[in-house]
Amino acid sequence: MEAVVETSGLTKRFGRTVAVDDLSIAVRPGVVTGFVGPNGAGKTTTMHLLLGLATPDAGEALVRGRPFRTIERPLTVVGALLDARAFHPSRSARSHLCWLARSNGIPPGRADEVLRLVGLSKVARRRAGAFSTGMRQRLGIAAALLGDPPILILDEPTIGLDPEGIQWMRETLRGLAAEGRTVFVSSHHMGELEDTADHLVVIGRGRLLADVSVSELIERASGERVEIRTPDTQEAMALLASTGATVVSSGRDSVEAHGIAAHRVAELLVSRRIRLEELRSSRASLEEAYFWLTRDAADHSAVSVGAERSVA
Amino acid sequence: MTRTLHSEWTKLRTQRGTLVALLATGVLMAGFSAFFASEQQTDTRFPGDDDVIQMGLMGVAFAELAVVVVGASLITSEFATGMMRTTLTATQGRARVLASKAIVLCIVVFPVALVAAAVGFVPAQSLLRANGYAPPAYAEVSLTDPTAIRAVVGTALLLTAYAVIALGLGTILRHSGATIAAGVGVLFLPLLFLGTFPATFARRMEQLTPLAGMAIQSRGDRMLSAFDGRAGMPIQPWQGLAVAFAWALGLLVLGGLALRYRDV
Repeated sequence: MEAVVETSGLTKRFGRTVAVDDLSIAVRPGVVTGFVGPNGAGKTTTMHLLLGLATPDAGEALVRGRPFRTIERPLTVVGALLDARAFHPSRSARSHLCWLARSNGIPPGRADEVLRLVGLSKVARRRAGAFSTGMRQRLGIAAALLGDPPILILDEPTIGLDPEGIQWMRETLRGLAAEGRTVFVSSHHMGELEDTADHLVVIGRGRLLADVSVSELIERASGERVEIRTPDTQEAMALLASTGATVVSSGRDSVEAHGIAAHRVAELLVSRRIRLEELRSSRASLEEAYFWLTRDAADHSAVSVGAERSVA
Repeated sequence: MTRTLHSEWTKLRTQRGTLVALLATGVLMAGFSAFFASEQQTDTRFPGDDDVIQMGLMGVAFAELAVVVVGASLITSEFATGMMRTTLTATQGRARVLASKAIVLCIVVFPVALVAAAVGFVPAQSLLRANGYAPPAYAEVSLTDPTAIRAVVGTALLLTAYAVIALGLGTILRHSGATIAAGVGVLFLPLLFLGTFPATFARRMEQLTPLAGMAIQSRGDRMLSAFDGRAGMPIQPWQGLAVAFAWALGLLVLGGLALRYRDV
C-alpha cells in the first residue's frame, strides 16, 4: 500500500549538531510502524518536522503527499501525541479536548466519546494537572483520536506507563492499525514495541539504520542459533564444531551452536549416539535484534534487511 | 478562522490564571482610581489647574500591570507547557492562531476595563469633590461629559492596547517572566521615572512610547499632571492612543512573524 507519511532527504541541524541527517522513510497504513533509536537519535525532531513544527534545512516531510502545514482541519487527518504534559494544568480534561475539538469544527460531544474510549470518563471534569502519568498519556491519546484521523503520530506514548498501561497502549495501537490507520510510534525502548510494531524504522544519530519488518529483523538477528542440553557436552561440542558451526558452552550441560540448522544438529547427534535431552532453536528478542542491528551499524551506515525498498 | 476563534475563546474561558488576571485588572482599575482620588488634596494656591478627569482614572497605573499578565499568559502559558505544539498541530496557519488570540483578548479586556474605569471614575469624582476639588475652582464633572466619556472609553482602549502589546511580546519572547518584565519595562517604568528624565527626553517618551496613550485621559491641556505635574500636551489625546495601538499592532506583527518562521 502507498505510504501516507514520508520523508525524503530530510535534514535538520541545530547549530553544529545534525539532528536529522538525510532521512528518507515511508510509513504505510494498516500496520504499527515503530520508530526506534536511542535517546537523541532524532526521533522527536523527525516528528516535529513531519508535523510542521520545525522547518527542515533540506529535504521534505510529507503527510499524504503534502506538507503538514497545508492541511485544513489537521486533526481530522493526523492525530499527534508529542508530550503528554502539554496542557494547562488547571483546565479539565474535557475542557482541554473541547478547545481542541472547536479548533477543527468537531462537535464537543466527540470529546466525551474519546474520553470513554480511553477510559477517562469518570475524571473528565477533573483538572488535568492532577492526573497521573498514565492518565495523561490516555488524555494525549484521546486528543490524538479526537478528529478520528487516519494517521497517528505518537512520540513515546508508553513512556512512564506502568505495565498495565503499556498493555493498554499496545492493544490500542494494534486496534487502530487494524482499522486501517497509519500508526507511527516512536520509542527508545525496543522491548515496549515487541508484540506491537509490525514494521520498524531504526535511526541513530539522525541517520536511517534500518527500515525493516519486525519478523525479518528478528529472523536475521537470530541467525541459526540452536541450544541443546546434553550430558555429553564435550563430544557434542567437538562434533558440532567439526561442521564449521560456532559452538559455545552455555552451561554445565548445555551447548549453543550458531550457523547450523536445528534439524542438522539433531541428525548429527543422533547418528553419533550422543544423548540429547533438549533441543531448541532460539529466537532473538526484539531488544536483542535491536542491539545486533545497532552493533552492526556502529559506523552508522544504513543497512537494508530484506526490505523490498532498498535504503540509501 | 471562525473555528480557531471559537477554540481560543474556549481556551480563555477555561484558563483560570488568565481569568484571575483579568479580574485583577478590573479591581485594580476601579479600586486604585477611587483610592488615589481619596488621597488627593487640592493645592489652594493654584486653584483649578488640576485635571480632575485624569485624577479619576489613576488606577490605570496598576491595572496596566495586571493587563500585561492577561495578555502575556494567553500565549506564554502555551509555550511553557508545550501546548503550543498541540495548538499548532491542530491549526492550519499560525497567523490565524495569533490573530484569534488577539481578537479574543480584545473582546474580554475592553469591556472589563470599560466597566472598571467607569465604576472607579464615579466614586473618584465624589471623593475628589470632598477633598476640595469643587466649584467654583473645579467644575463638577460627570461621567456623561464628552471629555469624561473620551477619557473613560479611551482608558479601556488603552488597556486593551497594552494587553495586545503583552501578547505580541509574549509571542516573541515565549517566556512568562521575560514577557512580564519586558511589558512592565515598556509600559510602567516610563510612567514611574518620567519626572527624573530631562524634559526633552521625557517629552519624546510621551510622544513615542506606549505611554503616549495616556494622553487620552487628559482633558486636553496637561498630559500627565496627575503623575508628574508638568504642564502641556506633548501629543494630542487620540494621537497618543493611536501611538499605543501602533505599538500593539507592530509587536503583534513581529510576533506573528516569529511564530511563523521559528521552530516551536
